[in-house]
Amino acid sequence: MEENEIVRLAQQKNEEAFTMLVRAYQNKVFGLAVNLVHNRETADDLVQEIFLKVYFSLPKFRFESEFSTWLYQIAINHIRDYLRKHKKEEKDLRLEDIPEPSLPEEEVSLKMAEKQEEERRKILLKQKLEEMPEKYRLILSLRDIQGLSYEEISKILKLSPGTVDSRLFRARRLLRKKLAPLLSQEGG
Amino acid sequence: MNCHQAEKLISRLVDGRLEAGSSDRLKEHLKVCPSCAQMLTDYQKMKDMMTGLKIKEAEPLPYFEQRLKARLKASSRASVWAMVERWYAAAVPVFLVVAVILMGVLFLVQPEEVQMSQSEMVLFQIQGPPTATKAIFEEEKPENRQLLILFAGLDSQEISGRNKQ
Repeated sequence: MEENEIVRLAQQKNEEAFTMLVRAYQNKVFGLAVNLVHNRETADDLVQEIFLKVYFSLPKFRFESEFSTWLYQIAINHIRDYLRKHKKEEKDLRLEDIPEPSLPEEEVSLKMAEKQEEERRKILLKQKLEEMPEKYRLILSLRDIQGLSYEEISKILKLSPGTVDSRLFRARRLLRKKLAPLLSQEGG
Repeated sequence: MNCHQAEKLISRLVDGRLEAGSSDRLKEHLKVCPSCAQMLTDYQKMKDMMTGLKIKEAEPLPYFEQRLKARLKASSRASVWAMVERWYAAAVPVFLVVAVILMGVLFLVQPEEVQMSQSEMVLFQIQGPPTATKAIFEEEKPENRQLLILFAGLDSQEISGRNKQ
């Protein structure tokens, strides 16, 4: 059965059709959410709310775009609202401030130390991303983490490709500024 | 090319979206600008770090579907109540507005005053046509009786004419 046919059935409150749509997209939407909020429980809750919104908004879907684009728009708007409400305060956090993940002594080898270091870098990067304005954080996540194309981002965020390009540039410039101590520590 | 322009091109380069012509111009600039060369290294590192954040095989928490179905049922019930509440909320002001309009209409549109003829006034005052008929019969003078009958006839013509209008 084609996706549009499934969507039509779901619009008529066909539970099986809606479940098929949920199964097809739950991992993608969850991936998007977890990469933006960096917390599995919060992401899971957000994805549930997104699918609730999708269910009640389905009668308004007019097939003017791909269903996936429409779904992503709902997801992004919902996550964006969450991010706005839960914006983190800017902190001058450095790599040294992040505690080392605790490991049993026998497992602390050179390889493990490297792994720990990588984990700390990730925590710092997430922290710096969370401090960024939501529009920059969102576009960086869609492009650099999720790997969506410019065209997809343009449709989902309803921006021209030129705006996507310039916003990505500004977002990366700001992130580089925030990560300057970490980048200089890594060496050239 | 200045460093600001170079940074824009570096952003496109790490994205794999830099056209050949611009790429050559950027390479020329990087040869003579160590800070922009460092910037390119930083952008590439950032890109790698960001890609490293991607959670592969991301799956929601267990029983996602079951939990969603339960929430859907609860939300459907809640949405019916919300609809009823919304209807009430909208109905109350509408009812008040309609009531005010009706009262205004009743106040402004008074019933037209009915003009009564002289004989109708007499009949109205003596409260009842049988009394008037009785008066005709009791009139002893024939000319007076004729006059009373004539008035009654004229009145009935007048009334039927008004009804036709």
